[in-house]
Amino acid sequence: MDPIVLVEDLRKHYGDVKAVDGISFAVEPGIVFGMLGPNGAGKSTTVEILEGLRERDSGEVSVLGLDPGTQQSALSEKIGIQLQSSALFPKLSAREHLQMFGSFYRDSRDVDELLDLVGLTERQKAYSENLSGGQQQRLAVALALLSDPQLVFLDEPTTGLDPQARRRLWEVVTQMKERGTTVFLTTHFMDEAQNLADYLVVVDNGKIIAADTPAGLIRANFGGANLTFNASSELATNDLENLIGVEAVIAADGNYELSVADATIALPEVFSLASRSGSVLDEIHVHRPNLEDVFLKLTGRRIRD
Amino acid sequence: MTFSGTMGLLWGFSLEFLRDRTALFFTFVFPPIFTIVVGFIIGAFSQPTSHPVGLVLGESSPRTQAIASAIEANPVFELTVGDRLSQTAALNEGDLKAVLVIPEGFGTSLDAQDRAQVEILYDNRDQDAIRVLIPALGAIVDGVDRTLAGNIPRIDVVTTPNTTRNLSTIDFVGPGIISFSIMQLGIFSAINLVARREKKVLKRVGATPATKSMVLVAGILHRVMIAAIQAALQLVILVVGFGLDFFNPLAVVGVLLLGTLVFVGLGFTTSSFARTEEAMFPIAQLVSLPMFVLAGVFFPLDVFPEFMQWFANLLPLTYFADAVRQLMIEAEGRYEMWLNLTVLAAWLVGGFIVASWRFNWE
Repeated sequence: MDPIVLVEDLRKHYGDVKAVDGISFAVEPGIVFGMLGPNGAGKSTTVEILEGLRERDSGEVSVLGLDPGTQQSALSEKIGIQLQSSALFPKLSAREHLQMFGSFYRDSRDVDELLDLVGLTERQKAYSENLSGGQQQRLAVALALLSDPQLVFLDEPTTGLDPQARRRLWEVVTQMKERGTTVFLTTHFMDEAQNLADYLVVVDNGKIIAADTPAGLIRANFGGANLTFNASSELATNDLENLIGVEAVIAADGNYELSVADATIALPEVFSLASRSGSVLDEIHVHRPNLEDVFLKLTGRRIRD
Repeated sequence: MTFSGTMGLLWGFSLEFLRDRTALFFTFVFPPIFTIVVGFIIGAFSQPTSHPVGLVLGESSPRTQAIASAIEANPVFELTVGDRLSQTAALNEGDLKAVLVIPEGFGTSLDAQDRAQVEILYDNRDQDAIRVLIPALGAIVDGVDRTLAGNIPRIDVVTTPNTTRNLSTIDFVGPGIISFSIMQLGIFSAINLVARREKKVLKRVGATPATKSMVLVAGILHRVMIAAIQAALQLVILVVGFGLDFFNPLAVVGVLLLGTLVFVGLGFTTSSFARTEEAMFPIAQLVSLPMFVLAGVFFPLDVFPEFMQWFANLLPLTYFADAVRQLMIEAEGRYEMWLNLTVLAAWLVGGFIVASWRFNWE
């Protein structure tokens, strides 16, 4: 299938600041496309250029076959947008928001159905200023879904939410995907990207530094798992490296860190080597590397530093 | 631009407005209270303790002397005796409220058992003159004749309204209060626009197929509806409570609508210069305060030095209040009506050109 979003060498500068510094990617239809990066990496600028809310300096952009720079009004009928701030009318209720915004579109989805989808049926009459942060974000997502768009942009939808509220929003995103909607999600939460995204671009300082599926990113940068333990008597590094599935070994003061392709294969091998050498193993940990490790490895920084 | 979307916005704006107690207070409670307070202040300072009336004696006889004494003895009247010409002039100037004219040959006719006639000139739009002075003067004339001749009165009282009007202060200030309130509404209601822009609500609306024109049109309609209710409340108070004249209702409504559009446009323009809601308050004050002082609404322009009058000639409220006043009380204005309308139209067009040029979603 043709990509639903196509971006070629996109650039946007604010004075000397290169907010978006030549990025290219494609979004296949029907997936959750994640854009992961720290604050200020250029995620929102990119999203708002794709939405037609911001002009680009240069580069080719096509969203649903339209150029957001010149065809924003046609595009606005076809895409759903959730801004980084929930941006609601304080004294209108959830239902009233959906009714009002529904009047802007030629066709709009049933209000009750949407309220149910985002779990706001019981709170539908409360003014938005009296809703919790999570409820406000879910209302903002419901507004993005009003026109039953093929493509929905969610810009950091769970920032500022407690873990429970984040999970509820993740459920909504999963339901959107099941409906066949393509979701373009930006986030600086590793677990969110890992849980939701089918495909991921990692951005830093306006550039894409890695792009793959979350599992692919981890595989490309690390072995299958990290195995750490300490041994009562020294084990030969050479022997460890020769075990099946062991890719790298770091040893220091009886502490060992092994990169292994598959922990279930490597572990018995390590135990058998230890018993042959008369060594007892302790403090055994199997750690699957996550995107946090990927980001750390790629940039030398943690994402929320 | 779609009709349903514009109506959707109007509906949303109106709901939010009706739920905002502060906005409701400053739109529908404060202006009427302000109107009542100003009305009472004006009333307290301009209510005469006695009514100045004039007497023109075409002849001197015991009868006319008795009439003059009876009027003079009545504390309701403050009597001036003079010739018809000067008395009429005083009436036109507003120094007298009514003039009783006793013609030459008045006594002779009565003596001859003929009917006689007196004339009362009065200010036809002065409620006191119509309700109190004419009957009271007529009764005095009748009573004197009854006492003197002891017979059925044969005096006809002819009442003649004068052509020039004696305007009361409320007639001057009343239309000004209504115009002033519309100016305030237009400027200060734009605070809301700044708040919505600051909180990215406008940006969110702009991310849908809704257009800038839809937001502007819905915003204008919303404010016109509010202005209509506010002006209606004030009119009822001023007309019923304080006896304000209200002529040319249709033309007045037309000019009020024109003025509302002018000041809503000015408010939109003003709002484009404020980044935050907090910054909008002083900016709105800066725009409205000169008009409070210099637009001839509460203080006559003639008391100000020339350069300030020159400045006043630039302010839209000067022309708006003048136009409303001219039409509402049918009086001479400061400017010709065509000039008022032309200046307002220029402000309207200019305001909306700048407002749509500077309008931003964020």
